[in-house]
Amino acid sequence: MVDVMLLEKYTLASNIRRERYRLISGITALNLIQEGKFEDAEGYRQVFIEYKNIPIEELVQNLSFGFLPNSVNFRQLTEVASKLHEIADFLSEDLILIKSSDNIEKYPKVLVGLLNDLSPASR
Amino acid sequence: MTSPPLQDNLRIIEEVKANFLVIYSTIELLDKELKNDIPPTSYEFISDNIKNTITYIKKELPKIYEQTKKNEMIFINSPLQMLFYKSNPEIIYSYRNNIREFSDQVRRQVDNLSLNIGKSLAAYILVYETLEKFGFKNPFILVESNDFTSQPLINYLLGEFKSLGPSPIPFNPSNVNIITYSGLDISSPLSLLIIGHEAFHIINENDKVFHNFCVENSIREDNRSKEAFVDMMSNLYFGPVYSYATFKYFQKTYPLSGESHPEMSTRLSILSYLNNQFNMLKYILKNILWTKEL
Repeated sequence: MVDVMLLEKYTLASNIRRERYRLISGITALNLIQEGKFEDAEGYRQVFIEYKNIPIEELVQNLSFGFLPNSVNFRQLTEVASKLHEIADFLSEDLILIKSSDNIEKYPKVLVGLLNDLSPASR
Repeated sequence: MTSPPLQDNLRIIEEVKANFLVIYSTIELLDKELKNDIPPTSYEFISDNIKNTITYIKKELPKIYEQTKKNEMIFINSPLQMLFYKSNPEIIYSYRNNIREFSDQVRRQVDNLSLNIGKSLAAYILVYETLEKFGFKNPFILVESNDFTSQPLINYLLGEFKSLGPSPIPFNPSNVNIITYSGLDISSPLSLLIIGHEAFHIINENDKVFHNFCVENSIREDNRSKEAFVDMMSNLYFGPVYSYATFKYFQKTYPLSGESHPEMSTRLSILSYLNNQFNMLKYILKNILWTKEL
């Protein structure tokens, strides 16, 4: 049994780490845009916008391994994936519009909540 | 009495820097621990492939260091980001833990490369010979995992860093392919054929067989179709036993279908159709021989 857990850990861990990095990038982009540092924000913004290229179904599958299976059901995961698409859409808008929107303060907190929820693969 | 804001900021900067120091030392430690003096094996290509892989990883580690350095500078130069960190330290803790996990994974997998040669030797030889039959000498390594996959080394080990903001220096391309195998199934002879399927992915990438087929027949290229195409290539090479191995493998696998893989039933139907076609061919050939004897 220990072996099975160990093997799964390595295969899924990189996926989870990739999602965690993307969430960190999204938070950083939003904070930098809020400060008007558009140039610095661009690299972080672009990697987060890539969420738009991942279909919701695939995103749900990627994320499902990172959340504790008993605490999050399929419907909740779909909501999380939709939220990530919503934030990616928001970050795709014009930088001036993003900066002046009320969502710019709200979304980093949403993302940090998800970051916290994504369980460590070693758990 | 509360500290003045400036002092508070300095304290946060120190805290952020301390976390980043942990990240730097983790990367440095990993670099020191990765040794490429692996014991000699009976097959030179195995030792060479493993050595080259370790050398490649060691060469690319400074780029992760650079990327982290850039992120640290962005972080400590942004008052808002630091204020955010104060109430949400997860943003750095996750980063730090990610690098630790990455280091553990690389260290463990590199150790396993040498330790697992014994149990993966047959698979190494099968992949090598299959590639050689088609005139290829692509370097590859077999990595223990929970599933059978084939992917370029750069995606497998370093792909995750592409989602962490801007990359200051892109990673060098590598021609090493990683074939992962299920550690629990490797001892089964049938699993060798599933590894053979992964070898055909490499052959397909080299020869662009699927691409040319799609162009000639005006078919849209699609990952799901490619998977079925590689199944057919493997079945034509290994024979109907490949279909049986796939069937047995699917029986105990988590359903594989989505953007990259067609449904298991579809894959098996295609293989079954292919085998039937060949039976028909055999029937025709037998009849031709029979008419000759008349």
